[in-house]
Amino acid sequence: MKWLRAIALVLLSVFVIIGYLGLGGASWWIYPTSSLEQDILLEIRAPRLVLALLNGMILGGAGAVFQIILRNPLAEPGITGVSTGTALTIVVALYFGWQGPVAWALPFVGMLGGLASLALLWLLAGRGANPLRLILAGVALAALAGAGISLVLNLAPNPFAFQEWSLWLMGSLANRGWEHVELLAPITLLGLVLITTQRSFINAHIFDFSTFQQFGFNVSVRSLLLLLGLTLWISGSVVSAGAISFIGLLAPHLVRLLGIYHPQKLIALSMVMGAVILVAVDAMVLLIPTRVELQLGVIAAALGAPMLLHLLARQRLISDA
Amino acid sequence: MLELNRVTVEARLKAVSLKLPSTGLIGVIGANGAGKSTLLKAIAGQLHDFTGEIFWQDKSLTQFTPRQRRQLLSWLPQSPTIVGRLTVLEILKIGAVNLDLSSQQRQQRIATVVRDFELTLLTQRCYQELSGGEQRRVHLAVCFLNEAPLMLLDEPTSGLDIGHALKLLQDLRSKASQDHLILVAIHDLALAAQFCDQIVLLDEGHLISFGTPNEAMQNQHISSCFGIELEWFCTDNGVAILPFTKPKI
Repeated sequence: MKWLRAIALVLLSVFVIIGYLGLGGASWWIYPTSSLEQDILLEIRAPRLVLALLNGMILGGAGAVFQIILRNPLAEPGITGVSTGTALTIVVALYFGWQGPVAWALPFVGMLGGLASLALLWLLAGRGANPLRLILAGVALAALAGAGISLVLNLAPNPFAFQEWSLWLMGSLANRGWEHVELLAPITLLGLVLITTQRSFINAHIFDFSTFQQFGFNVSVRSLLLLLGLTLWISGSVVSAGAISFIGLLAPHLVRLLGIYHPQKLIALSMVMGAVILVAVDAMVLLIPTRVELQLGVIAAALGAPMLLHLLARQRLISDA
Repeated sequence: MLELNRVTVEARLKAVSLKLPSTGLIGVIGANGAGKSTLLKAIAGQLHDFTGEIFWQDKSLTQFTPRQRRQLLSWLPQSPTIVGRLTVLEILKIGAVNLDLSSQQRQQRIATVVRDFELTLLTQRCYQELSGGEQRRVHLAVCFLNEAPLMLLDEPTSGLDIGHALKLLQDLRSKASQDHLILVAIHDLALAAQFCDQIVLLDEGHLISFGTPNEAMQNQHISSCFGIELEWFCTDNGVAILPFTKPKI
């Protein structure tokens, strides 16, 4: 465990140094001397780094919690439809031009969209929070919201609007500032508190559903509180950086491949792993010279999918031997 | 006292009424699909689509909160599983939840079940690496953590070797004599006859007979349910049963 944390820390530092401090034509090594470069570091790079860390923690942690409580290794933060619901609300708000006069309200509109998605999910899945029904209802909701987003994009008045709006679909940390951190940090903390208070409930999901039911939890109330925490996390992440895909699926699997299965450790380390991955991916975004900045989800999937397949294949070989 | 009043589960259990004492080891027997598991599940609160009423000490089970139910009963499903590669000790710690105990008492309970189910050498082993019988003992240990007055075990002996099966039934009987009511669904008629205080015989959802093994397992009942007859051999060491197919006339 200790070596794992050490490796994560070293990797994180390396990515931070190459991605945020030394890139983009900067001439400094540790701290810039000119005031312009200081501004770039403190007002652009630093909030971007903090946002990447927070978003990575949220995605990794939420992915792990969903995989545990739904007893499904394919679960990821998008599975409940909350992230697509949040993105849809934002894109609709942008389409109708609400963001002009009330730009500060956009994140809150998005969060409301996320909470509305949760309410809809709860109604569709019915009482009792049965994992299979939650997954099916979530998939249906995500498909519906996804169709809505496509519709709005089709109706985009010009290519620039299309490009700007599509950033919400695969995620981006471009042009973010401290105000986004100020929004996301308390939400991250609140979600973490809600999820932490449900840790014995989450842990008990290692047992099959029938055994689990006798443990004396008020399953409906506990599930709702937990989903509320997860919704805060996910919609907070979407309003600050768009719907970043794949990291929530990848991070818990990488942690499991390291032999960590205890639910609490899995969640905690998936948060660390998610943060490392997202910072690394964002460093790539900064590093790869393209006409417009690449989207985070694209790089995460392009790099992560082969990596996951390789690790899984290797693990298969080991367990077969 | 556990009282079932016309408990009906669609197509699986038909108006079963029973009055069971608050201590004793009760065997639930019957052919495949007779409704053994359904009966236990209904009592365990695992089913939401049953009609009729179930009372424990004159209080309807539906009036118990989840937390109260946790103190009242423990339930072992027919094929329990664990997700993820966890050690036996980690599983027991996670299973010792909502017991209303101090952390010291909780550790005491865990130590007790580890000793009772001979898991001492397995506590640091990964569950997935254990044999089927060892895994079964882990689930039984989780089940016994809450020392519930009412225990519902769906085929607890399946997967256990004969030594462990005998020991388990002996343990269950001694537990049952200390103020526990234990219901076991069981396939082995000889073990049922030897260890259970009373037998519930089910056939296609109907209650066929209820009473001591001698009363409940008479050949007329057994042959109507299983299509076989039994020959009983009783010695001081226990009961043996020779089942044979009913001769066709």
